[in-house]
Amino acid sequence: MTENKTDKIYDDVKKIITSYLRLDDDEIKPETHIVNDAGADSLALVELGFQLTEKFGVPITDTSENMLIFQNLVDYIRENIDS
Amino acid sequence: MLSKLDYPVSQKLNIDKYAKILSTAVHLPKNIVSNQDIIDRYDLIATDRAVQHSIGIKERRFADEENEVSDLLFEVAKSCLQKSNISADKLDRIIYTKLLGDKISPATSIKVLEKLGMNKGIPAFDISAACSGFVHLMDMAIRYIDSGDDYILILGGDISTRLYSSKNKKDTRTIFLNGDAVVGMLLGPADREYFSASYLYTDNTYFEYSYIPFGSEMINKSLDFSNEMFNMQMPNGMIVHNSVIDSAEIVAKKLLEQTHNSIDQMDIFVTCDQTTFTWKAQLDRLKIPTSKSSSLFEKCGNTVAAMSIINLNELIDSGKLKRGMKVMFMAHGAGASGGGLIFEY
Repeated sequence: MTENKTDKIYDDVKKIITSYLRLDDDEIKPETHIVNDAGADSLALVELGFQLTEKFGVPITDTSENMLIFQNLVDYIRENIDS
Repeated sequence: MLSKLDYPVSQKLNIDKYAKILSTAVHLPKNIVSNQDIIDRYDLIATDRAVQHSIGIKERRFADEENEVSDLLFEVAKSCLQKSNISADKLDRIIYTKLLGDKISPATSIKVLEKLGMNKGIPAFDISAACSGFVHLMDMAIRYIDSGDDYILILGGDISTRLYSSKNKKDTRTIFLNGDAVVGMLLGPADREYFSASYLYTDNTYFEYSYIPFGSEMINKSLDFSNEMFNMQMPNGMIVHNSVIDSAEIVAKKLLEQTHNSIDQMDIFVTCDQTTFTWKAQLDRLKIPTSKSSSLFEKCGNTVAAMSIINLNELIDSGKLKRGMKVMFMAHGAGASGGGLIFEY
């Protein structure tokens, strides 16, 4: 797992989530749970899935609890973006 | 997963005086409300495409603020009577299956009598059976006709979007689901059998999965009154979805036992559509092609007890359902409560 806060993918994912959920920048951290901490509901997860797929071309097919941790989501996109 | 409850034995209808459907009517308020309208009105974090993807709805109708449900019921009552050329004074009974009604008490169906200008004090009452209410009324109507009545008007649906008034906390799991609509059906005597099967059941293991909290239980607990007491609570929508699919299988099996038909012998299949996916899943479970059915959920939303009649009416209006065709008709709802009938249209 790579944790790099200056990573462009990290920043872009963060921007999509903070913008859609109307959050301040500092409300998303690597360990943030997108539902429990960031307040996303099931409809928000659907829309965020659309937006992330459009941005990175990576379908979010893994819907496990693990994927709701922000850093894990970023890592998943990074690992699949070129494959 | 089907519940392990024992369901009532499927008993053949024992009818001497036959009944048939004389007319049906649907009243949809004129005000069309899109998903985006709701998102904007309540400043929700949601998008139209996510709503459509999740539950299949595009729009629904909202009743005008100055209308109560008895105003809308009056319209379908008039329409049913006009279509069948029966005057109101020939009615023996009116029964309405409600979610909210005008008031908790007295019965909203009595208000409909007043609006019809009835001078005869016929029986009129409301029942409560959520989305499955209309199959209960059809079952009651054919039995009342068998026991002496001639003309019975049954009514369903409600102004259910008022559950989500501007004062309530919004829940995006439920706020997009509902639409306002009411329906009616006039039944009368027939010279031969039209209804060949009827079956009703409940499954109390689903009692807490879909409910509106307001009731004596809340008064007893001395909870502060709040508008949220009227919000539909649905802790797990997938369990409700699955209970409807299971209900369709149970009811179909029990109905076919009564008529000794196969499902392939049904010309038309009518059921409730709490979401587009719930409708399609019922068809898939019963292996019925979509060409034999109809769902207007994407345009009307969940209209409680009106759903199945809205779909029946659409099949009639589109010409897909013609006189003489055999119909399997169902509805399933909270409780859980479900049932259906087989009839010749």
